[in-house]
Amino acid sequence: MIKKLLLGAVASIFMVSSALADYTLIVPQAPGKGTSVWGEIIAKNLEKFIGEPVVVRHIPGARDIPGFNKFHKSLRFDDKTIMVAHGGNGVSYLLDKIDYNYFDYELMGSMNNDIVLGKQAGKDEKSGTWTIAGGSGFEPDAAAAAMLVCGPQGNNTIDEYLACWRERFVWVNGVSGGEKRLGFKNGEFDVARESPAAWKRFYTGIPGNELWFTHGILDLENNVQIADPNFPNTQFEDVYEKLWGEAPKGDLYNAYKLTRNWRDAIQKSLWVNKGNPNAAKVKAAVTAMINDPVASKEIYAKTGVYPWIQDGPALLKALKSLITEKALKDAVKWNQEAYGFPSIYKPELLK
Amino acid sequence: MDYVIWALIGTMYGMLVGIIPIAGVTTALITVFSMGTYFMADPYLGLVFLTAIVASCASADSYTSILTGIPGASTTAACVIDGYPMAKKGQAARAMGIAITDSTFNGVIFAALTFFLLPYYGKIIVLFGRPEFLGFMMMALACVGFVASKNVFLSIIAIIFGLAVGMVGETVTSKPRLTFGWEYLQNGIGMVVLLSGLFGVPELLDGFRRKLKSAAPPMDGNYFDGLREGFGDCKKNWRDMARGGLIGFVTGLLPGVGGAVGDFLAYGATKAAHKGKNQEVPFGEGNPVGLLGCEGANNAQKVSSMIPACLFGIPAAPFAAMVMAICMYFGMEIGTPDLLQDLNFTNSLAFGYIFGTIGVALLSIFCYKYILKVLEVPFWIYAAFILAVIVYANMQYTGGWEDLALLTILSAIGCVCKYFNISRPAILVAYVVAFKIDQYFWGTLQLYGYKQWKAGYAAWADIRWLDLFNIYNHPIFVICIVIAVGIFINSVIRKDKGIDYT
Repeated sequence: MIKKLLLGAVASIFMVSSALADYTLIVPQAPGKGTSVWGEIIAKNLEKFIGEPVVVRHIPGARDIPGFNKFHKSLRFDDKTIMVAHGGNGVSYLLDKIDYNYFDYELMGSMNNDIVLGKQAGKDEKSGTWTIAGGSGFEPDAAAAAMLVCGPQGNNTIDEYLACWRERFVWVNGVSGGEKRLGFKNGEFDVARESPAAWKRFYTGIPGNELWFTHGILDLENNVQIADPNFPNTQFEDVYEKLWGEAPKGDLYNAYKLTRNWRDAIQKSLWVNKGNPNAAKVKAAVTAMINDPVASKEIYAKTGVYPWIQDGPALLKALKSLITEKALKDAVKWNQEAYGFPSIYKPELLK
Repeated sequence: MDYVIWALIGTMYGMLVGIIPIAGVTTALITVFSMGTYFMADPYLGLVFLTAIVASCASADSYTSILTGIPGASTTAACVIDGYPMAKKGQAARAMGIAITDSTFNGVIFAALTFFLLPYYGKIIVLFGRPEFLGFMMMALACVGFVASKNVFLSIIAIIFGLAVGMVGETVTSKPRLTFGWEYLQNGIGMVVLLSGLFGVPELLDGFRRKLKSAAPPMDGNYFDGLREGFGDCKKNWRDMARGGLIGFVTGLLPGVGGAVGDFLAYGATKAAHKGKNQEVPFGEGNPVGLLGCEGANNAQKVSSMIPACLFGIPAAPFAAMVMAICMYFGMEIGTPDLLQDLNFTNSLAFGYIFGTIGVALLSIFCYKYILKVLEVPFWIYAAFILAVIVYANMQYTGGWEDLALLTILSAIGCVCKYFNISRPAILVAYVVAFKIDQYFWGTLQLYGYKQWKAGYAAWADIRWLDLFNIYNHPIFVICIVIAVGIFINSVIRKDKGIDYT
């Protein structure tokens, strides 16, 4: 019996090892989820330009952290391993206990993306209660919604916004993307949140909803947030000013900017370990893939048409400039008290 | 002609994967994901291929459950309860006759209902909010009583254990729960590893222990006579077959429910419908009615799972998420009104599914001896291969040692449950609904006034209980709760309840 069991074990090892290939994209999600699908598309297209097989390895886990941690602790030292990270990883970097550190890696390419918020048609920001659903982590969108609904507060402190949030919002957490979509359609939730491609796919032309605002995208050259060319005149700052007659400011706004850019500017990104001898080759392949009309068409079909960033040091410098002690502490406080999620203040990020 | 060829390839591939224990539709679809590029020129061709895989795999999964006692996939776990005992009694052909008829009947009927009336189904799912989902989950949990064993103490252990396993991971506020400090568990325990541990590995080890010569039990009499007997069973008990399909169909409409819930609900309902009637064989010991009551639910559920996916882009089951992902890969805008008005889209779905359902039935009737040939391979070769597939399937999760560790732990628990007759189906049902009940429970409370930042009684006192339980506001929720309470009391009080498939 032992011999037979051993045969099974040997066969298992053979099957597992046969799945290993040259370049490996580490995706921190189970197959079928948003970033996984993006990773599959990238793997297929990158293969053509890198000249070697590229496979995807999924390492799912809570809030997509364990896969990235594993990359940091061991997998990054393999010269042919590329990390696929998404916006949630960026927010977790600020607020969660994690091992990974973007400053230890080289950026191969990042899609500078946006998020679209919708609301029930005709819903008035200045009156009534708003029901909003969240997932399992910090959502800058809900913070922006809070500012739009609450408007300017006395000193615009985080406590004032928390008080307004408790009075004006019903927050339902632990809701998946699909359930949010259904809840919005049957009127259970007042706010919809989607990626640009999903917004166009699921909401455009459907009565009962209206595009509320978008985050806009990062203009890395000037280090400012600009309007999304796919959704002109919808950037949060513009919508806020139009509604309340002044620009947004204060604690929550700073926490929002911090988390928004750490998520959207690295919404879909590829990283290798710093000093990886294949970095130049991979980066050149990514550049060729971006410039290839067939490959880019497939990628944009998933994400919408958004610019890529490949200047890693400049991007990290821009993101780092948003980290202040106050903004970080306020983001932690908002995450804990408005959403009820655990998060920690990490002073080491200020270094 | 290309459409027929690819439908046939999809049917054969789906059947092959379906026959492999544990590997189900989701696995089959994941493995063909990389073929997406081939279909870029004609995405409808890809759609036909995919739906043929889904349909044939759904049917073939049942055959494995019946012939080997190892669920072909989680969605056919209920078929094991009566199907495998039938096979062990030499009635494999009769059981196959039931499975083929039931799968084909429910697959074709509900595929037609689904795809040709797709635009009209949107109104049903929109009626379900958090409370309605909660009520439905409570009803599903109450049905655990129907699949628990007669020993109340062991049943309670099974249910509590199943609920605990389902709760492993994180709370709705992302705090670790029942992870014992093991980060790996924060994403919860997956269905594949649980099924492998509870059912797959213990059965294989039991086979080694008993030195089985073959995984498929020997068959008595002529194969075609047995098939005809199975067809006759279905004709005679068509109401049970239709009920099972209908339950599977409704279950498949609800996002995230899918999976094993529909099958077990159908099984429980069949058993309840025959309460007090004289049975040819008791339920759980190879009763043909028990098999035909749940067998078709899987096929109907698979097809109806496509409805919320197509209408709202909401996957009702993991495989539907894969179908959506592949469709999006093809550039099809799932969830848009334009797509629903695209006749090529609905026709491709209907053609692929119906072709796959009928195709796998014909293949099963005329190639049964080849299926048996595969199963007649000496047990240790077959089992070594299955063990490798199980390990490989589980290693697909992270590829790390943790996958093997969890599989080992759950396999040990599965063996203990098998040895002490602790109902593994009860564990499975409790596991399936546990997290969803938790999620919908808190979501419902939050919608009705629960403020998480308030501590103690004040948070509960704020809830608008009367609004929540108002039958005019939430008729589906209230009715589900009443039915759930009734089912649960009935299943607990009656001592002759329970299935001894443990």
